[in-house]
Amino acid sequence: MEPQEIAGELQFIKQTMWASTRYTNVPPGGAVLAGVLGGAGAAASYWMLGAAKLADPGLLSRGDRIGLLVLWAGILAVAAGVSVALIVRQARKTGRSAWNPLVARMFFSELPLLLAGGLLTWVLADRGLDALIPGWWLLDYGLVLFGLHYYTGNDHRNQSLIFLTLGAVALFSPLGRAVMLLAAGFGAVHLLFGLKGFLEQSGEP
Amino acid sequence: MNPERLDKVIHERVRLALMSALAARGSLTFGELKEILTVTDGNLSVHATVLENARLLRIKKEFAGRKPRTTFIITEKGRQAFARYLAELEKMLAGES
Repeated sequence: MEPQEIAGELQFIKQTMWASTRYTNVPPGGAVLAGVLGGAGAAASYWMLGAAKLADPGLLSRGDRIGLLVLWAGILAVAAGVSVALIVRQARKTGRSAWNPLVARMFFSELPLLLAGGLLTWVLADRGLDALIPGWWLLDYGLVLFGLHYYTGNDHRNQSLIFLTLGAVALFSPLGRAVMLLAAGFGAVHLLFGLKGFLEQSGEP
Repeated sequence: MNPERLDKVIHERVRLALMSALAARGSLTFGELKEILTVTDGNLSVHATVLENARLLRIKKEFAGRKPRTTFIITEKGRQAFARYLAELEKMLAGES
C-alpha cells in the first residue's frame, strides 16, 4: 500500500466514526407542535396578565406568578412528552433505536442547563425580577440547542443563534415586549424550522 | 509496505466502515448503519455475517413494538482487532517494516 492509500484509509475511518455520532432522528412534527404551544403560551400569558401588569411587573401578584409557572410547566411537559412519543415512533418506523448511548450523552450533557434554567426562573420570580424571565428562557433554550447542534447539525445551530439573539434583546426589554419575543422564539422559530423539516423530509427519496 | 499484516476480515471497505461506526458507537441498529454507510440491505447483511463469523460483532434480533429490529454490537475481540488494525496502518504510514 502506498502512503497516500494508507492516509486515505485512516481518513475514511475517521469520517465514518464521525458520521456515526450524528443524530438524525429529529421528527419535524415535534418542532411544529412546540411552535403552536409556544405561540399559544405567549398569547395566554399576555391575556392572563393584561396591559397594566405587562407595563408594570411590580403589579404582579403571587397568584399571577404561580399561574404563569403552571401554564409554562404544562406547555413544557406536553411539548416534551409529544416530542418523545414522535421520536420513538419515527425510530420504530425507520429501524433506529430511540434510546442509545448517543441519545443518553446528548440528554445528560444538556440536563444541567435545563435544571439551571428552572432554578434561575424560580429565583427571578421570587425576587420580583419577572421581566427577565422570558429573556432567560430564550437564552437558556438557545444554549441547549447550541449544545445539541454538535450531534444534530446546522438546523439546531441556526435556531440556537436566533434564540440567543432574541434572548439577549428580551433581557433589555420591558415585560410586554419580552413576552412578544417569547412568542417569536418558542412560537414562530419552532414553527418555521418544523415546517422546513417537513419540506426536507418530503423531498427525500 | 506490506498489507498482508492487516486483518483480512476487516480490510474490506464495507466491513471497515462497519467496524469504524461500531467502534465509535458500541452498538447500532440495521437502519442506523444503513443510513451511515449508505449500503444496500443485502450488502450490509453479507458483510455483517462475515464479521459475526469472525466474532468481531454480535447480532441481536428483537421486536420493537410489532416491528423486528436487528442490532449489531461490537465484541471485545472486535474492539481489539480494530485497535490493532489502526495501529498497523499507523505503523505502515510511519514507514516501519
